[in-house]
Amino acid sequence: MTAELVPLLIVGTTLAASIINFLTPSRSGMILFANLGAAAVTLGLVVVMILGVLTGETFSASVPFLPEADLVLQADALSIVFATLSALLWFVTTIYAVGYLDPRDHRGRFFGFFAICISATMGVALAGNLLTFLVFFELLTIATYPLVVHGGDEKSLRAGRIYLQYTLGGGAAFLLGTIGLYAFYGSGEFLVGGLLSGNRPPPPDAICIALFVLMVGGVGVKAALIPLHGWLPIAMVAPAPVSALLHAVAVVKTGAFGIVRIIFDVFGVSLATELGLLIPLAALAAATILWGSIRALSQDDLKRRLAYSTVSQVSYIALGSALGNPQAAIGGMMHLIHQGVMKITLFFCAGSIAQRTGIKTISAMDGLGQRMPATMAAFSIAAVGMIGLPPTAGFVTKFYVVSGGIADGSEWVLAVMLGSSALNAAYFLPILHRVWFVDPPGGAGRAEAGWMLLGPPLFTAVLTLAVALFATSVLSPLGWIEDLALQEFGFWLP
Amino acid sequence: MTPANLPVLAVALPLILAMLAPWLGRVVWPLYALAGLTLVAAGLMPGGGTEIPGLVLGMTLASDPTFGPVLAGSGAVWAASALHARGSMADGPGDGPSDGLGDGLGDRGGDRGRARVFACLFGLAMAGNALLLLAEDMVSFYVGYSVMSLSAWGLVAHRRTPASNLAAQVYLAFAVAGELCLFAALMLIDAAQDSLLTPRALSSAPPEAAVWFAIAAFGVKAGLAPLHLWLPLAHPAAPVPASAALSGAMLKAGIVGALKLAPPGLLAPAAAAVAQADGSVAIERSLSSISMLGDALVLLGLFGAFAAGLYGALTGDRKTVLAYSSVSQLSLALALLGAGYAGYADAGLVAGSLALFALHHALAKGALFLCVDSGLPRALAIAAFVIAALALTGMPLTLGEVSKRGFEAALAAGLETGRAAPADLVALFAAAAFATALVMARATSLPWPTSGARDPWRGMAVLALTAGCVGAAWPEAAMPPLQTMPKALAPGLALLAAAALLARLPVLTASLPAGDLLNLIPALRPSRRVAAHRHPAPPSSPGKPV
Repeated sequence: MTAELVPLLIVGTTLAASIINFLTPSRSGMILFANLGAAAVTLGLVVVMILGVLTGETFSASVPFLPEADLVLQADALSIVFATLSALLWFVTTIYAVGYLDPRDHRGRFFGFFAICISATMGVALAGNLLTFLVFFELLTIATYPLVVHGGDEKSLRAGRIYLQYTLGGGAAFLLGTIGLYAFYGSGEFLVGGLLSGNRPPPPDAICIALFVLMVGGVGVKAALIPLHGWLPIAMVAPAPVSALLHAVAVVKTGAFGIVRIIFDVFGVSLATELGLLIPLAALAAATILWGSIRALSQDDLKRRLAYSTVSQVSYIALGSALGNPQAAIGGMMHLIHQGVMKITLFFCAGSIAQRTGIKTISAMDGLGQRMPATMAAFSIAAVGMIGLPPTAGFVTKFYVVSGGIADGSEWVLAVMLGSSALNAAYFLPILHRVWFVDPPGGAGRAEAGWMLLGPPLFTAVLTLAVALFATSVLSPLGWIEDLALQEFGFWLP
Repeated sequence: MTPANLPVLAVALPLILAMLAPWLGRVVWPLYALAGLTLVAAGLMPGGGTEIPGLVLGMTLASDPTFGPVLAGSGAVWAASALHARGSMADGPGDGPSDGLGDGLGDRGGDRGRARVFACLFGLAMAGNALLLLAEDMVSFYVGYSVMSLSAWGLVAHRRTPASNLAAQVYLAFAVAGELCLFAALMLIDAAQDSLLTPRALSSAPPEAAVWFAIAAFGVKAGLAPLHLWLPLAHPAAPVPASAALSGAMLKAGIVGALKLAPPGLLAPAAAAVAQADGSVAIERSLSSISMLGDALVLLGLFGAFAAGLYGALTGDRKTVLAYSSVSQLSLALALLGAGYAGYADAGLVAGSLALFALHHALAKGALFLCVDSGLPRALAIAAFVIAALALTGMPLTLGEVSKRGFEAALAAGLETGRAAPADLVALFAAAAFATALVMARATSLPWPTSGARDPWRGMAVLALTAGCVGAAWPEAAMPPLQTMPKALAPGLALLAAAALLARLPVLTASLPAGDLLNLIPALRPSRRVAAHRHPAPPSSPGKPV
């Protein structure tokens, strides 16, 4: 009984929070408590699921939707990874957003859509089949739009339009692919090892390839694979908490998560490799990694530079998954978490800087280390993590992806990662130089953020270190993901 | 506390102190000195393979007896630098070190913030250095290396002058390049070991490509020409205690790294002489690209040893001269390492003599850098400087002599059992001592400030290291036999003669810019940018030749 309820409750709690938000007056102090409460409940439910899955319980809820195709919410190892990340980061983003937003500025509306986004992300995480995934994936697109245009000015509206054009286009392709799969194969549930690698023979090769291209192309828009990444840097006009959410958890991450699902649980590594689908995808991901970073080099607007950095970093996930090697897959799946934690830190800090000092460009960041030492310490840790230097989260990702690549005879992965690290160093370290080793302009005093803007980035910065420092400890997600990857590749090593 | 805990303590202590540094104020410096002494203790009491499974990708810390001398030397330099910093990294204005380049901390607003950042990064660099020395697995080594390199960036950039800005940028570019090479080496070794998920220490010879990457990485750190370009800029730009730690302790990471990731014992052609089994010629050696790398290292190392010595003798700032001397010394050490790879020296002896060299150079160079702002009476400061300089040339009864004999022994053993070297390496290595004598003569003869602030902290640091240069040699009974006495004394006597001469010949005071080859790039040209913004010398200390 409870096993059915938990996944439904997770999606339900977040939806309920959204309704409370819409109904509560903007200035009310209720907003913080309602959202934090809902986030805490969600986090608690996710913990219940983790404990349950560890003891062998299965969580699955099925709601009749279309003939022969129910909406299925379930908890497998992969969904738990994503759900935990989303719940945790929702919690900290809520604190940050309350501190960041002006209460008069449609706060209720903002938090309402914000909660729907999380609800949709949870739905995507827990989706047990392609249809469910699609429904929540599209819900996310719609619910994010009001957040992107939250500013309400011409620039925001234009960004919102472009965002919708890209994501709805991608959604259409994904829809077509999903319909195709149901039409040709009759079902679309996610199976460990791959649905199409299962017992029944898959559809003809050409159709499989077409479906793969449609589906990966569709989710690839949100994952910002080139040349589908154009919307992401433009959507930067949104308020900082939204950018943090878009970049770290909800939008790009559902795209990347979709790619992982399609490769491992729909096609299966063996079939995808047989059809020659993985090498082109890996090459595209590698190109995205380098191109995103090259574009980031020339951006002076801090948030735009971070946005191009996201384009680059999210493709680590796709690259790791597409190498067809368990080691690399571990790296890719770990980066679901790592990129989220690191990038949300950077966006939190960028928001705090803009809010406290009005500084939005990198060339104006001189001496910020003296003015906001704690905020900039968090920023520095996350930036070093992006470069992938130990002991930070980024290093663990890099280590596994490259290790898997070399083990598979793809030495070019090492070259791509070295190039990416060098580029990341080239656009993050000069920022740190300005911040720490250049004196602030005269008359600029201390401007450290208050606890609501400071606590969240400090927490995620500590996480950035902790997931690497304690990578092999019992509590680390690494062990979980190792088991998961080994299952997907068909061998289980306890 | 047992010796088994020492390695963990030596890493954890500076790390914890670094995190507390912003709140501890100046109290942190004596505590850092204590942390440095813990590292010395770990070096003196080898052992203690502590496995910490949950950390990073599985961390093992132990004090390897091979690296005992390196640990002791590095720990001593860190401790002395911390004591020196207690005296020199002052909070109040006008209290800065009088090394000619100007301020320490106390000149402008935001001093306390900057002092905190410096104290924090100093501790992080120390922790990283300790970790890389004590790491028994490759990933932990890389973690330490990376933490140390990145933190040292802040030490170089500390002053925020145009000179230190340029130095910091050049340092960072080289450091990141080295970092990436090390990552590549690490991944290639990991792949070859087939050690799924648990990167261990080396058990077999690493792949050749990995060795090339590793040597490139460590060449950057140890100042192998032409990867040394950051070094003569960074040392003068950093505050005195940071220069001492950089030169005395952190440069050795290059040597230690090479010994750990690309051990000559596993790579030298002698180790691969399996040809005997065929019944064919026993001396036939399987020459690989590693022996080519060895040849390149010998060539570049010897070139660097002489060229940096000569160039350094023609520069005009004491810390720049000392930096070139470090390039010269470390180049010689890399040449010996190369001789190990190429089979010209006994691979087994190479590791031991390099470790001993690291101890000797740490103490001597640490003392020399700290002497630049010694807090001692002028005569005493000069005396300490000359003693450390003589140790560097390998004067009998100093650690330098012990280190020199170690080099000779490794090369001599190679003559008997190894490949025939194309040149008389023993003679060339011995001749390098004269290059050292020349550059140290220049450093000695540069004007000394007549009076500086007396400071017991700084004085204690200088005297402790200087005493170490001589005192640590006693257990080794370093007095050479009578008939080789003249040869052993020659470089030191040359130093004294040259110093006396240089000080009295105003013709020779013309100076070349720091950063040699970088000056060929117009946009960089460090000397020009530095000269244009150079701070005037403090009026209280008019220079006067010795």
